Amino acid sequence: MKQIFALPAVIGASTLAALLLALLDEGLVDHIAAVTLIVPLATLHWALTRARRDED
Amino acid sequence: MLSAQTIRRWSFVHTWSSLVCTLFLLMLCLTGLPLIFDDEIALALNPDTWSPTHTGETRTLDRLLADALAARPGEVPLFMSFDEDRPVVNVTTAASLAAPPTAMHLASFDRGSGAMVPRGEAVMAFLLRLHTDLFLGLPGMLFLGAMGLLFALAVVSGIVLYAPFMRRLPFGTLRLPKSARTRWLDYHNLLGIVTVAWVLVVGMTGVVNTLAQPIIELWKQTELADLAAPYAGQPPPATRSSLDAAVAAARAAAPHMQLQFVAFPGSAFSTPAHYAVFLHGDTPLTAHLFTPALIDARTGDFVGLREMPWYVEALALSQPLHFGNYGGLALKLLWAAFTVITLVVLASGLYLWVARRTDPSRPGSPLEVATSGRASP
Repeated sequence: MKQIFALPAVIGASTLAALLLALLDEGLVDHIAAVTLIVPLATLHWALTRARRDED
Repeated sequence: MLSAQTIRRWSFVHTWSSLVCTLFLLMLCLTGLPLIFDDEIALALNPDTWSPTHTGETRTLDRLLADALAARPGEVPLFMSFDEDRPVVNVTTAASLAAPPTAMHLASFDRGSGAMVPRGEAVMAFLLRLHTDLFLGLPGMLFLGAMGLLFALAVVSGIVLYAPFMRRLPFGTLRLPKSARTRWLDYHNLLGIVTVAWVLVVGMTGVVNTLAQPIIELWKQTELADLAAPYAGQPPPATRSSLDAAVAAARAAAPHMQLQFVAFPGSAFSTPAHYAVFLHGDTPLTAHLFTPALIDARTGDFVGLREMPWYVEALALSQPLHFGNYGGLALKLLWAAFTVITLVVLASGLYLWVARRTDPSRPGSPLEVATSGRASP
């Protein structure tokens, strides 16, 4: 169970942190928040790329 | 690991909580997507409609108010608000102080020339109304709030079911060579689990936003009623002190805060005897937190600042977290990407339900998946 939820938990925690960071301040913190919010999208990109590679 | 019966129960909860709310969630995502870019779309639709007049002077608020009232003879002022990114003042008037929102009139004025500024955002106003209350007012808002709670239940039950589905599959598995149903099951699981935090935040803040009217009503019946109690039964003053002086007094009392709007004496957000000058902070966090400064409308004297209670502040903070409009264009683009992903999760969930019903001979029920470790053939 821990293994199944380990990565989703990390992604979820980073998303929450990013949403709150973006709300708290401007400037550098905003950029950090935006970059952190890319983590879920990057994960999807990684999964798609890997699946297409395996398909080939 | 969950027992087969527990999985079956959670599967039932997930299926039906999703199905009931899916149609409305699809509508909310489709209308919410353009609303993320509200400012950009309004500018694109009306690129040359209006630009500020540089007359070298700024009209006083009293003069702008007089102009607004002259354009609406017989009406009384309710609110005056101030655009943050352009020199525009918006004046809300109505035939009486007790007029409902649908009977109010809003007009915008150039602070330099006093000329009326056209309001050409009918499409976005339509989408916002559809997104907010389905054109049904409070019942529509509360209904959408209930759909939001069902959606949250669907998300939580989806998280519970994720474990048995993924028991024998590595994280991020997408079985592209398999059947369409298996592919979409994998997409549904992966897209859902990586966006679950964003979906829960936006969904639950949306639910809080649907309670805006009851929350504001509670504030008016408790905090504002306490302030207005000494003036109960009194009509608003026949002649008001200067509006400019009232705003200046409020800003002097809180020089670190920005002006948001003024509620006139007797309006829904003030007492019969006061201007309520609403100020907000100047950081992304405090920009959404309002503090009213009360100014005696007869004498123009500053009476005091009144902090908003926690439940109004929770409502105020839930709005930026729902709309994603607090961190610039980058955040808006990310919000749009997450919204599109949510659309795919909703549509794929619907597809999986239909596919399973139309082809019941095929294996792949949640129970079978959980016990065999195979999501589908």
